[in-house]
Amino acid sequence: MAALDPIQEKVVYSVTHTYIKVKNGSNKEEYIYGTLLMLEKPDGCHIEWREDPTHVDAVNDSWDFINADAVSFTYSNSAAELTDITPTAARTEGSCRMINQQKFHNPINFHVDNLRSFKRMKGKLVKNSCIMFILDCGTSHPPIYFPKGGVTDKFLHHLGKKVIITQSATDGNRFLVSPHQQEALESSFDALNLFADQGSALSRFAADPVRGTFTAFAKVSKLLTNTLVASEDKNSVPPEICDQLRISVEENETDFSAIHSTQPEDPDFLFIDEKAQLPEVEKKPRGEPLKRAVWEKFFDAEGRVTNPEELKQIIYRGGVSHDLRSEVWKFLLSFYSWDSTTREREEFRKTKVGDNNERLHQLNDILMTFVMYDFNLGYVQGMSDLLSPLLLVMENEVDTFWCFVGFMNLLHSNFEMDQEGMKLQLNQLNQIVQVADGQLYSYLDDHESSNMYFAFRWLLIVFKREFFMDDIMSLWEVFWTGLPCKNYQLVIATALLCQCKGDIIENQFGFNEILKYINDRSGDIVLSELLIQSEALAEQLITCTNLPSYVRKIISPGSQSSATQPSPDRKPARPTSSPRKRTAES
Amino acid sequence: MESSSNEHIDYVFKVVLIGDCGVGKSSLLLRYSDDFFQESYLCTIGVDLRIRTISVDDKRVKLQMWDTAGQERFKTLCGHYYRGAEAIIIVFDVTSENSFSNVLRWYEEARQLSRQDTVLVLLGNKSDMADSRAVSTERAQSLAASLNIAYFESSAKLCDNVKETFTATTRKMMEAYQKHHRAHLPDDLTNSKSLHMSQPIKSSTSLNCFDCSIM
Repeated sequence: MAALDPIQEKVVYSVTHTYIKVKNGSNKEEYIYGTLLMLEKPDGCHIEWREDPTHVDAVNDSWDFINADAVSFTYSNSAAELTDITPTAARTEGSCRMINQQKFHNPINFHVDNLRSFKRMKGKLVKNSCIMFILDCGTSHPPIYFPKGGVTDKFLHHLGKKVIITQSATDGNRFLVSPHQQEALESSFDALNLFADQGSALSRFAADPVRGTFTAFAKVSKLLTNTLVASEDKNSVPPEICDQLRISVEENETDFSAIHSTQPEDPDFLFIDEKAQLPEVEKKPRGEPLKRAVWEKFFDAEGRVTNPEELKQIIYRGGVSHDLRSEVWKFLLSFYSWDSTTREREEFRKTKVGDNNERLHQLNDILMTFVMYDFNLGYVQGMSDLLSPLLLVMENEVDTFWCFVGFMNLLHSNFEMDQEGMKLQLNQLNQIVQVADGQLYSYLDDHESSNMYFAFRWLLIVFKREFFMDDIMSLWEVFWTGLPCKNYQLVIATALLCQCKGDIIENQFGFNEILKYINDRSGDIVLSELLIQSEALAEQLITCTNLPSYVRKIISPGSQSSATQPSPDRKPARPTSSPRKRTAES
Repeated sequence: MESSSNEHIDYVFKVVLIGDCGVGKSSLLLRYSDDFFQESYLCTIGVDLRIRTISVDDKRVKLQMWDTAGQERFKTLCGHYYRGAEAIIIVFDVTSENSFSNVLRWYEEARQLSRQDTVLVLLGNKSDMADSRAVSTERAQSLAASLNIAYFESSAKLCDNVKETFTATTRKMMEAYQKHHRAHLPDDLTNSKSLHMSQPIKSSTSLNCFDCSIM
């Protein structure tokens, strides 16, 4: 970090002993301490967070199940294509840190005029209050925590002298920022009473005199947007908002019709949507991961899994304990069939090992073997993302290879040359979002984003880059069960998008900013919350009585779909001599 | 300076990096935007975006830099993002003959999706790896000359000539802009807080979003 340059910058305000949460190579949470600064520079006011290298404090979590040294294979520099992952401990650390490199190495350092909004979090989930900055280009910085609590108020008080801060009408923890046009409006911040949650944005709006047309319009449009977001599924703007619009506009002698055209009476107004009514469902907490004692009860005397559907249900609801993964995944990825006996599986594995007596020591070798195995597909970027968690879990390369084959069976169409599988999935995502949240859909459509291109990375490698290693293993187990519906990855994507809705709409992000914002979510998504929401959304879609038939088709088993159905023209993945048979796709 | 004036921006430019997998597109951008180098390789999935505001010849320029996946089959998606770019940087790896021989294909791709005044640049990366160099500076220069585009050599790893390449490219974009007077700098840009330039062309209907030529 560069030292302060007293000539170039002046510290307006600083908060020491703040920290950012990161995960280290073993997936443990680690706090990096630093100082949050407000600086006057020749070009204006900047906010910066600077790491204090002398103050690093690792917080040990109770779990430490990923042994970074468990996997050993060597790193080859010869083919960059096949070296997505560096070996052993360095590899694990690399991929964990990598997922979030934006957060580690994108220094928090911006001009206040680039600040679009910030979120403060405080309460039962967060012990220490924290603040998260979102910029106008879509960049979202990691939350900065304030162990000393109230310091945030002072910091924000100073920020309020530089920009106009407006509390979101929909989310009391979100504050929208607009630049001061002329004089510093110190009162505007104080009027907000940021950490008290008192009064509505509306009363503040009424109390806050409008200073100049630009500001008025910014506020009006923001307020209108916010209010509409708040009054979701209602077709009318509350009358008091209309009154406020009228007052503020008349005050500024501006043409009212310009604003009027965006009111819901307008037939083109997209917030009104004749959409399928999704039923209310209760959100269920996540279940317990599958434990060995439970797992062992599922086997009959000869080692067959007696009730695979019930087992899948348990995994769908709670995942698998890490120590069981190497066993369970082989079933989930169709390397073993559920109704095979222990003896059959042993025999089968022997034939597999015989088939692959060539070296499979390395990631490269596994991928090269796959390339030879599925010659038409070849190596495609992203495949190694799918392979790395399998390598971590499986004891040997042969098992890894065959589980990888099983995984690739599910995702084959994503990687095909013509990319038809990805196009289909993005289109299907478009259709599900339309039904799940018409308002969000309208916003995306109005901002060149209903093509869902921003979700490409999510879907190509089933969210691999969005989560740390432990979380992605849990998410994939759920995905592999084939429950609760076909194309569940699209339901998860929709639920994730709904989580992002407030940030996207209230920050008024456009095409570029949405992509940037979505990419920046990597590492910040709470998996359990996402899975709870996804499960509820899936249930809503499944039980909806007037779901459009084209959406019903996407999620119903048996219909042609993208990711979870193998393409018909592919060679069979497994030899026919196998004692196993293909399990039904949910 | 006590009063907080708005950050003044004179230009907003969209720059796209293209080229084979593993030549260092992401590393160049990471070095340029965050001054960081990651030893391990992680391919870009889809596209990524980095923003940096710089000063060139007393002008404030906001660079919106797009990082793209290098593999052929993802070209169609990435092509969507080339559109409206003020500059396209074709990157190859000076230690990889193959990445160099593909430059012409990338050039054709760039020409097809760019405007007449789009600045094209050829960039040979990994100049630090002298021992394994496969493409001489002279060969690269002569190819660039035959295409009538500028050539730069850089090392994202050693932070060598990265900034200079982007600065020179920015200067070329400013020249091209002044020459063509393209009306892409909105009047209210200095007041506006968003980057609205170079928006992709909206497809006719959402359900047919892939029918356009790029897919």
